[in-house]
Amino acid sequence: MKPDRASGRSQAGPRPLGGPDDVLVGRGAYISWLRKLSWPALKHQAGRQLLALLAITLGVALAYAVHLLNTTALAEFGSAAASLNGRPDLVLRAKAGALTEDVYAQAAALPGVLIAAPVLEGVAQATDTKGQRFNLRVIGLDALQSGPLSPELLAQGSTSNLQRLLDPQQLSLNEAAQARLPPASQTLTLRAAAADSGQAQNLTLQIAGRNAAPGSPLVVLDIAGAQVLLGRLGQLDRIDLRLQTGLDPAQWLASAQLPAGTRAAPPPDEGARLQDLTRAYRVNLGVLSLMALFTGSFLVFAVLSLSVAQRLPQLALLGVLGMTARERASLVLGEGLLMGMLGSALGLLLGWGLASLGLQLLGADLGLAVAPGARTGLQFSTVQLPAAAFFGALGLLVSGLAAAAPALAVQRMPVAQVLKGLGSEMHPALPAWLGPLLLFAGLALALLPPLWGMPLGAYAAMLSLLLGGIACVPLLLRGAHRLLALLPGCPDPAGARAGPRPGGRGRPGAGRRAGLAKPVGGHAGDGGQLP
Amino acid sequence: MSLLHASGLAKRYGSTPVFEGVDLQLQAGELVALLGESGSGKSTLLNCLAGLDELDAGRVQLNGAEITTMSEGQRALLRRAHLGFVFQAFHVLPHLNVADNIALPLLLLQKPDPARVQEMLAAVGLDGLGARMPRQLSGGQLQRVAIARALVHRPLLVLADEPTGNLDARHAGAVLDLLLTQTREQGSACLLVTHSERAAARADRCLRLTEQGLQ
Repeated sequence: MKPDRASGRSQAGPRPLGGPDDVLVGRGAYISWLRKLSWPALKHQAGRQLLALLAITLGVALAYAVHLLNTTALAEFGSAAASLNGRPDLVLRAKAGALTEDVYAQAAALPGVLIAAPVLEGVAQATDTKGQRFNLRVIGLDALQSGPLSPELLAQGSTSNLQRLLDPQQLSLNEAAQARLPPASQTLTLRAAAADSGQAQNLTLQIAGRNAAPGSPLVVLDIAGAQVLLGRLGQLDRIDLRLQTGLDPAQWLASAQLPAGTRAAPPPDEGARLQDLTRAYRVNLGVLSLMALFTGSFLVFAVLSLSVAQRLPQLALLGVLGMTARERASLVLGEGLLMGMLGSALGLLLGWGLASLGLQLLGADLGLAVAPGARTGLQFSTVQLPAAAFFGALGLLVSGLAAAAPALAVQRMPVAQVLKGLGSEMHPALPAWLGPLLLFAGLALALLPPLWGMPLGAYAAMLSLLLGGIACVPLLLRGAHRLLALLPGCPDPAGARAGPRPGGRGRPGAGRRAGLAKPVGGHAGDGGQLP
Repeated sequence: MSLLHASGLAKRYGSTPVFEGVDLQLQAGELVALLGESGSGKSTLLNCLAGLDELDAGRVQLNGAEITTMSEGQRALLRRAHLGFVFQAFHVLPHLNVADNIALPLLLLQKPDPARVQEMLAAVGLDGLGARMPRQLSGGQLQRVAIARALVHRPLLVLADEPTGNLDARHAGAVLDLLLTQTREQGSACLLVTHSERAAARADRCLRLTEQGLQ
């Protein structure tokens, strides 16, 4: 009996054979394999891997930035609308025409009403620094009543001076209006068409200060001054009502005896209205950014497929040495997911940065001038976490899907055959009719009418055209090969490189695949170690 | 009891038989040379014994465990733990250094053992070359790496498919010496596929694969 110096094992008989489960490895093994097997190989394709990473990063960044910009702009608009309209429980309006001042007295006397704030609105013109006339929105209100409902409309610092608040000869300007006027102006001449006479009239008022109203140029003055300016003496547009604490507006409305010829309703949700108005634009932008992510996934797919094709003999060696088919597939899938994870993380950071930059450059209202002076830059809030998680998961999903096909190919490859250099089909060939069919389907889908107000058919058409274009590439390559073969003195590029293959199936495109496989196998198959 | 017991093995590609009626037994620590003409199916037989290729008929038992009834995953795990491979074309991973290539079976088993890797490096005469990359080694040295890798996890059976086929006579002799020595020292059985009568003469037993089976 010979002692085993290396292992100390006796050669008297074969040692007991452990079951296959004895060598099963845990999840930690995959991390170790990724680090020790995949990483060194991927490092040698750093350029391509970075390109794929960039595709995921940009896709996620674009989608996330668009989402952040949209939500921020909508929130700012909603906030701006709330500032201008105040925050009453109910708004009382005339069923037809304008309200009269005697209605105001009735409304203020209604049981349960805490505040009744009359409002008159109109448009006037002023002259800017260049002598050009420009429009201003005019809001006339009773500062004492409207103060609690619309504090942004009061002149800043004026609350301490009751006289200034109630003086019909004074007005306050918002930032947009002040920017159009000469600096340090003490007075402002407003020109408006009087509703009663139809004649234009000028009214010069003292500038009492600046209000915090967002949006386009606006002046706020006492309701009496506004009535004079607009030629609407004794008229009101609306009365904002604040009910006593504890009263439910809907219940109150059901039992209240409103003045004759009036109706009351909760204030319109301007934010929701803008959401409806901009839905198509926002959905379009969102879908386009997702399309960028989707297109990026093809790049990831191409990079991973090429990477796997080049490493096929190495992966086959691992299979021969005992890595199971599932483990090989998991390794490739893990590489894709790792890229997706990194790309998503970078994409979220970049998306945040892009959105932040966009907000700084355009303002929180994206240049619509509905909320100038609104905060610029993004503030982190936990409300944004679900969206970040969604777009991050989307990047991960796209990378996982892109890695699925190469992983499946690695799982199914005959390892012994591949190790001998006999190759393996990376992906099943697509039927030749699929590409043209998808292109025609794309054209047909583009003609579909919108569904639920959204061009869903157009989105499907984009996807179909994209997939169709990709599916047509083999067809176009075959056509190009045939054309080249017709040229005198030009050998068939596919046939010349591929040559006869053992077990060749003689299928169209086999030469092209072999043509790819040969240089790949020659250069990378065994790392150039083959003699 | 035999370490490897194969009986009635048959393999065909379509209607073309590769081999039929092959019976083979290997004892622990035994070194058997498998000779045969090109295309006689020696490598295919080796693949079938390793569970890399499906048999059309017959049974293969490794230390009593029936390989032929195992799933692909179970066969892979069996190879991982109990088989070592040496190929004609070396087959090393180009992005790993010599030591990491040798440690590959241990990495798959998740049983890292740097001391054992150093031991194998010394055993195959590559002491001090562990940090080198494969492209920096000669063919003979690469085959030494492959031998060290095949034995580092102390397998029960080493399958060597023409390990000297790509080497000149001088290096071929040295590599063969190394394979035989190391295999014997470790007590592993070895099935050596070769064209070389000289190599076969070094084995405990020689078998020839013909159309009539193993002679």
